[in-house]
Formats: sequence, C-alpha cells, structure tokens
Amino acid sequence: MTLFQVSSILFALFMSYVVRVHQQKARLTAIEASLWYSLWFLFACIAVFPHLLTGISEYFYFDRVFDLLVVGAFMVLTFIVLRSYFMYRLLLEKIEILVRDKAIAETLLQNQIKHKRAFQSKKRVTTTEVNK
Amino acid sequence: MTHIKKNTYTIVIPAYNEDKHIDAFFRRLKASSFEVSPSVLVNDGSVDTTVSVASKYTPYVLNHATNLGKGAALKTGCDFAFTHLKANYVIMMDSDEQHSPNDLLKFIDKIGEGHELILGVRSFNGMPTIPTYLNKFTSFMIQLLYGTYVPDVPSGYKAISRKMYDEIKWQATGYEVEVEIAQKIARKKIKFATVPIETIYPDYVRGMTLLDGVKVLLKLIGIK
Repeated sequence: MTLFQVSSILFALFMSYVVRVHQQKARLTAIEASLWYSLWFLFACIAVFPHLLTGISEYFYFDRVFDLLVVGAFMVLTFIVLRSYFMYRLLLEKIEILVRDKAIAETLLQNQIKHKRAFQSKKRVTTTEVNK
Repeated sequence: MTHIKKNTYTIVIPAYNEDKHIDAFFRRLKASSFEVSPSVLVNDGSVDTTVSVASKYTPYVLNHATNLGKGAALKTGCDFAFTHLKANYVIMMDSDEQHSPNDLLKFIDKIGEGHELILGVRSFNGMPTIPTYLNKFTSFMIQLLYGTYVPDVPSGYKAISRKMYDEIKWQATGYEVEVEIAQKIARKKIKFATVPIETIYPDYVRGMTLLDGVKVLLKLIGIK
C-alpha cells in the first residue's frame, strides 16, 4: 500500500468522524449521514482498489483512472461551488429583508409608544385642569 | 420658490459610523429651514454614537442590526418614507457633509415643476483627479451600453417620487446602488432633471474603496 493510499484512508476515516459529530448534533438526518458515510467508504475503496474503476474509465475513453477521477472531482466541485454561491445569495437576501423589516418595525413601535405617552400626559393635564 | 405642500418630501440619510459629522450635518440642515418634515436617518449598523446624536434631531432613526451597505439603507429609508410617512418625494443625502443643504432649494424647485426624478450633478472643478476620471468613465460606459448619458453617476444627492421609486427600486445593497439607478434610468429611458450641486470633497471622505470600484465595474457589465 502506498503512502497516498494510507493518507486517503486516514482522510476518509476523519471525514466519517466529522459526519458522525454533525449527526450527533442533529445537523444531519439518518439518511443524509448514511449517504455521507457511503461516499467516504467509496472514496476509501477507490483509493485502495483503483482498478475497480478501470471498466468505467475505459467506457468513457479515459486512458487512466486518474483522469476519470480528476474530471469527476471537478464536476462535483463545480456543482458544490455553484450551489453554495446560490445559497449564499439567497441567505444575503433573506438577511437583508430581515434587518430592513426589523428596523422599520422597531421605529414604528417606538414612535407609537412616544405618541401614546404624549397623548396620555396631555389627557392627564386636561383632566387636572377640569378638576380645578 | 414654487409652493410645496407640507410633508410632500422627506429627506433620507443613510449613515454608517458618522458621529463626527452627523451633528454638523443636522445643524446645517435645520439652519437651512428646508426640512419640512422630520428626516429619516438610517443607521446602517454603526458601532459609534451616530444613533444617539441623530436621535436629538429626528424621531425617525431606523437601525439596521448589521451593516448592509448604502443601497440597503437607502431602500429602508425610502420604504419607510413612502409607506409610513406618506411622503410623495424622497430627497437622498449623504451624512458625511458632502451634500450641502443649501442645494435643497434647487431640488424643491424641480419637484414643484413636476419632475419625478432629479439628479444632483457636481462640477468636476474641485473633484480629485481619480474620482473625476472614474466618474466620466462610468457615464461613458452607461451611454455606450444603454445609449443614454447619465451625468455624475456616483452622486448620491437625488430626489425621487413615489412612482419613480417603484419604477427603479434597486437590488444593490452597497455603493453599486448609484450605478444600478443610472443603469435603470438609461435602460428604461426614464426622464430625469438635473440640478447643479456643490462639489464638496473633504479629506475625511472615505468614499469608495478599490473593492467598491470593482463591484461598480461588475455591476456595469451586469454581474451582481
């Protein structure tokens, strides 16, 4: 076994541990966690037995298994980056709406309270004058 | 001066950490006597005493819990002025004393003439060299892309009617807001009037950073 294969297995084990931590904190459902465990298991298997992918790489006319992995990884990464970008944009929009709405609501409430107090003190003055 | 109904327009001021200038700004605004209804100050997540200083001058201090940027602050202020204060016009001013309240009269006159969108345009005399070139370049690019010349795009001194606000409501949250407004004016062929305003460029004006410049350029070519 090469050094690269050993480090790949260690990396897969570490990532499985990360998945477990997040599962324990209820950030991942059982199905999601299972999918991630499967992915890291698959990663470790491919690292140890790269010839498992020979058939697939030949099917797609890749000369080497490594080329297939690079292309596959690039596709996955592109998808993740794009998805994160849209999520980030959506989150920014949500935060903006939340902050802006809160600012308006708070000012309206403060002014309502001020008006109510002013009205009550005016009413009190009028009542005192009538009593006199 | 054309007669303007009371409460017809509201001044909207976005502010971010401006406690050094906000007091002087409001004192000059009050002295000008053009503030017919209380102004709306939008505190865009300042960590200094901007809020407490501004609260002495206006009951309408809107607080963004976090810093969103000039575009978002302007949008909050305009939404509040048009929806809750029932303003017919909003005049946007910067809180860093770059905009002179003495120029308000020119905007009010144009509002009285029935213009829906009025842009404050500074003279290039007194403007530093780099901002002058960037300013000219932005106007040139807008004209090249959309066929309409919009002068002094980065100027934030503007007056806008409720109807026009609905027309050009922006998405930009930062300094790019000025470019987006200019883009929409040019693309939709919106009629606008201009008024000459004082060019004030004090040393403390932070203005746009290089990063903001990049954002403006991206906005120009249609990337958010």
